[in-house]
Amino acid sequence: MDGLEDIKRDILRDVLKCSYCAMCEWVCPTIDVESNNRIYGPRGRINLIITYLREGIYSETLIESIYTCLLCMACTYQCPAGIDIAEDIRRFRMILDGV
Amino acid sequence: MNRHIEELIKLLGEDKVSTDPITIKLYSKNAVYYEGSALAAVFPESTVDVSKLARYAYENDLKIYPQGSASEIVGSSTPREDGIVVNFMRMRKIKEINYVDSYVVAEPGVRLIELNNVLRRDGYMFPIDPASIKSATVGGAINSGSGGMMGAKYGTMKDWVLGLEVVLPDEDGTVLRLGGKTTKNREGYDLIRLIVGSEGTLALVTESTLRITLAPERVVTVAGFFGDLEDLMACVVEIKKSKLDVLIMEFVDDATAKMTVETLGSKVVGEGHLLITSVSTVDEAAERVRDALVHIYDEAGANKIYSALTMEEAEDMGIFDIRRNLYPASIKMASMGLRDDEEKPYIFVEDISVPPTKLVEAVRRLRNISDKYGFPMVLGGHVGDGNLHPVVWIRESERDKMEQFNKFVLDIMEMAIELGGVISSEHGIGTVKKDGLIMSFRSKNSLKALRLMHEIKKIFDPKNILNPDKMLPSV
Repeated sequence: MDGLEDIKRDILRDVLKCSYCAMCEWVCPTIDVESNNRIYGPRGRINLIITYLREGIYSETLIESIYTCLLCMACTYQCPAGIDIAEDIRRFRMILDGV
Repeated sequence: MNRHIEELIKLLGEDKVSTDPITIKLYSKNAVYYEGSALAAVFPESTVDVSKLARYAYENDLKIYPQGSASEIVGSSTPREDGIVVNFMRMRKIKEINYVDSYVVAEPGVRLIELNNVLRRDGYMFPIDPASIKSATVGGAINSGSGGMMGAKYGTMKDWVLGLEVVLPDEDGTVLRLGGKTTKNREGYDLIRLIVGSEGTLALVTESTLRITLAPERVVTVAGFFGDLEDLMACVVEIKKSKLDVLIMEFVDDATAKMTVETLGSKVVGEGHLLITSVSTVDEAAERVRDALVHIYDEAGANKIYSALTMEEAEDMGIFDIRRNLYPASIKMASMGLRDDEEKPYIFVEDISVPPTKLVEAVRRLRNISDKYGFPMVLGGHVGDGNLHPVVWIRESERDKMEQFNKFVLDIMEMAIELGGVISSEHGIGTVKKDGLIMSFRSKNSLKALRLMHEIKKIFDPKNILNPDKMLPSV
């Protein structure tokens, strides 16, 4: 089984493909819950993961963002870069749980 | 807390103003990795909110950086630390649909795909279909002057805006209503088309009345591969002469088609340059139109031809996959062989246009430029209107080559100008193409046009608080 560092590396490799195009947001069931706030959409989540993994930025906003995802995978099918968004968020929760 | 923030919260309410650094960070990026900063992210919910905001900003010299979904790729939506980013995604009502008079009234935060999903149910459409249609908003498309795959038939955003409600950055936060609900309108200077494509530098768009049209009854699509680019262009010319009602005419060069098939896979495969043509027709004529198109492709020398009698069939066959995968393929290519896992590629989608008859020469010269600098490039575009999108990239670790990379991009724009084209077709100028804008007007001995644009900017925005330093270069 991969260690947390391996998982971090795998996730980072995948999420860094995000170009911020926002093609994922229109299908997200949670982004509108908080008045179309990017934090509650896949683009926001992916980029918060990047800032955590690269810059170590941890906050309540990050926790809210990551744990409000339904893991429904609607966004995953929309991503033109092929980022496995829902799976990356699921595995990132493992990292947060280990914090 | 910054005094502006306190005042904005008093004016608009706490839930419309965020000073959370992470929220600001997320609202300070665009789709090509430009990242700015801001004092706050502000989320107006009505024209009244926007007017209050504009008045406050004017009185207090506070910069306003407006944005929709920030999917633009030239830097027009990214803020700076001297102001606030104003995001319009909470203003997203479709207020009226009138099929008899052929218009819709929409707020700026409505996504183009959402608008089309509603219209398509009744057999209508809004025909501006940028590649970013799933994320692009009405307000963003107006400010960017967006186009799309159907541009050869339907033009760009400037052809589809009948009316605008805008807020001016002045002492009253003046609300102006321009145009109306009719196709014909000759009421003085055309301020609507001045604001369309102004990249948020003149006024804040709070509502628009957009022309709509019937969706085609039937769309027939043919795709083919050509070993020789001149044969492909001969095919384009014959299709144009055939009086078919061309809806989409897309091109991908041979190296890119091959690379896309190899990296992402495709059900449509062949040797050479790919040409995809979709024609609007009626049910009864579909097979005749398909046969006519296939005949033209065949006569022009296509070595592999695919055809579909409906859009659904074309999608099932994957006819558009290679063209649509241009950007993902670039990401894939740019990400391959990275020296470490934490390196990020920076991808730039160029947006030149040349007269369609100059496309063969443009493609040849683009390849020469790519070879000269040694930067990789994938190439596709809207061949029907001569709009090419060379996609180029550089990696984080190659920042020392940035000067060379910028020269590479300037050479691409210079080539477009030499062939009688333009340096920006549907993406805009933002912060990245100002040099190209100077180059273009200088080539026409018309730098005074840029000075006129600065004067226009001053009239709309006397304190230069609205998206400052975007689009207009110093002259």
